[in-house]
Parts: sequence; structure tokens; C-alpha cells
Amino acid sequence: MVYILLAVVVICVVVFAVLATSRRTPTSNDSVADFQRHLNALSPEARRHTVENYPVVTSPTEETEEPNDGA
Amino acid sequence: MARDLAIDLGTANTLVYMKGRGIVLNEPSVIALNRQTGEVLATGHEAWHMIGRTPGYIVAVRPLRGGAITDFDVTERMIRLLLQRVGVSRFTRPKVVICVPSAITEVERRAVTDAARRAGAADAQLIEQPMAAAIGAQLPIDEPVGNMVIDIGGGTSETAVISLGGIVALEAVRVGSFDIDNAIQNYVRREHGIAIGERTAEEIKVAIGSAAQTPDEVEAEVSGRDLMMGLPKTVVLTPEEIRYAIDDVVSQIVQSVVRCLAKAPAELAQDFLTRGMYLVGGGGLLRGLAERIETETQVPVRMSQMPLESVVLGAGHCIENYDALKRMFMGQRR
Repeated sequence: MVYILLAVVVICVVVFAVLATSRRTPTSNDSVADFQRHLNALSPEARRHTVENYPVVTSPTEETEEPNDGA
Repeated sequence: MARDLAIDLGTANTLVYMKGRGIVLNEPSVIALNRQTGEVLATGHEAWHMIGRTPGYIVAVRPLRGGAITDFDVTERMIRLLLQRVGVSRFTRPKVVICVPSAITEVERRAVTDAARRAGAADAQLIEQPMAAAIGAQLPIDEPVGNMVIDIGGGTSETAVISLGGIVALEAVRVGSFDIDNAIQNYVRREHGIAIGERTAEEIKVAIGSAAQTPDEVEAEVSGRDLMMGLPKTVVLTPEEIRYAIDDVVSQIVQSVVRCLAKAPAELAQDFLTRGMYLVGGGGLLRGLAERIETETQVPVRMSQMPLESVVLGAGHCIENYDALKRMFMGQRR
């Protein structure tokens, strides 16, 4: 009985260690997916949402006479 | 729950983008203070109207020069007021992405992030202005092609080549629209013997300033204080005079674009010729500048659709997609 329990504990520890290691070390697939996600977020379709969906809100105090310099 | 913010903390103007709302604030980066008590009297447009017209106890200042903080305390107070105006309180601390010139030093970077955190931001990340500008100008920077963006701001001019979501080549000079205004002020003082303020110099630039000859040029009358007599005096300025006055500054900007082209990998040269370069920032609105750059580089120059908002829209896109675009932030690249 003791041996069975010991074996179960050892198996659990090994499984836990393998899982922990695999999560800590990024695989090449992870980095590819991450880079692809980065590029997808920069696609014109993704950006159109930000640029076109929201109107440019001007300050209520803004007047016609305003500085024209660069931001 | 605070809505996260993107801030284009420019030498001339400050724009704030709120996640899910768009651009919620667009004001000059000016703050008016009581010189004796240090109290803030006005910010933004209200303070801008005070420049050069204040009584002795009030000072209207721009706390940023060349894209960098020149007065840390004043900048922190200005950011705090801006955040309060867009709804940030001590109980709602948003994440903030701030656009800064790519050429700022480590110390200047820390000054910006510290100022934002002290002003109420939970976290402050920085992004280079040309990168944000390219995102906001809708350039196809996710593709393996050379995208060139020229961002001419109030205190800095930056040219970047961007491909596959990263900067390939970069050239920055701490010269911008304010240096053009200063050059006009100095010319009028030297050649016509009258002193004019920075707002008048800016008005001359907007009215008749140009980097290359343009059709329908007109002369402009300008009034200032006669340096000999101390009395008000009016003189007439021609576009040729202004072109001569600002030529040194314009040449520095054009030369930085040429240096950036030279730094870019040869493989991308074809892309520049077919796609051209994109001009963003208020300084890019100077008449004839696109033509001057085009003549000196032999590369087509196009104006961005929203030259004044491109940078903050790009940073706004990063705040909308914070996790996916984390690697865009300065100090986060792996």
C-alpha cells in the first residue's frame, strides 16, 4: 500500500515538474504565435477600428485661433 | 474602473486618447503659474493665450522642450491636471502609454514615466513617436516592406524606416517648428530692427512661411517693438525673406531624412521609391516642405491624412491592444 502511495506521489511530482517546466520555457511555437499576434494587431483591418470608429473629440475650449505647431 | 489612456505629450500640443472613446483632449502644452505662490492658474488653450501677455506675477510656460521635460514639477502638475480633466481620480488609476521622441535619454525617459505615475497613472509605458505615427497613419507596417515616416513636431524631427512591426532605421534631430519660429524672430530682429513675440512669429510662419517656392505667394505685415525707439512699428515681410530666415532649420530637417535613407538596408530602397515617405506632425504642414524633401531625396513624399492626430491614434491603438502590442513599448523588446 505504501509503495503504491509512494509511486503515485512520485508520478504526481514528475507530472507537476514536467508541466511547470513546459510552462516556464517558451517553445518556438509560442514565440511564433506571439509574433503573429503582434503582427495581426498591427494589420490595417485591426487599426481601422481605432482610427475610424471613434470621432476626434475636440476640447470645448478650443477656438479657431490655435497653435498650429507639431504635437 | 479607469479607462486606459494614450498621451502624446508633445512640445507644442498634448493629445489624450481614451480606450474605447477616442481622442478626448487636444490642447497646447502650456501651463500658467503664479510666480509667487506656484499655484496653477490655467492650462492648455487658456494658458496659451497668455504667452507673452502676462503681468509680472504670472508666467505661462511650456514645460517641454525638444520633446523632453525641462521642468519636472511643472510637467507632473500639468499631467495631473490633464488626467483629472479626463476623469482620472485617486481611486481610478489607468494604465498609460506615452509617446516620446526616440532620441530621449534614459534619464529623460525615467522623468516622463515618473511624472505620469506621480500624476496618477497605475503604469506608464513609453512608445517612440515615429512608431506611433506610422501606426496612426495606417501604413502597412505589419508587412515585410519598407515604410518611411517623417514626424516633424514642435521640438524634434524624426525619420524612421519601419518594417514587420519594428524600427529598421532611425534618425532624429532636436529641431522642429519652434526652431522655425525662433529663426523668424531672430531674422526680424536682425534685419528689420523690431522685436516680435513667439506667437507672432508662429503666425508669420503659418501665413507666409514656406520651405520652397509655392504659387500664390503673398506678403505679410508684421507689428512689433522698434528696438531703437521702443515704439510699435510695422514692417512688410516677403515669403522669400522667411524662406531665407528658416533655411538653416529646414536644411537640418531635410539632412536628417537623407541620413535615415542612407542608413536603411538596400533591400528597402525600391519600396521607398514606389511607396514614398509619409509626412506627419504639425511641422509637416509647412508649405513646400514635402516638395523640398522630395527634390533633395528624389523619393515621393505624401502627407498623412491626419498629420496632427496620427501619433496619439497610434498610441491609442497600442492601448486598445495592450497585450498583443506590448513589444512596441520602449524597454519591452525581446
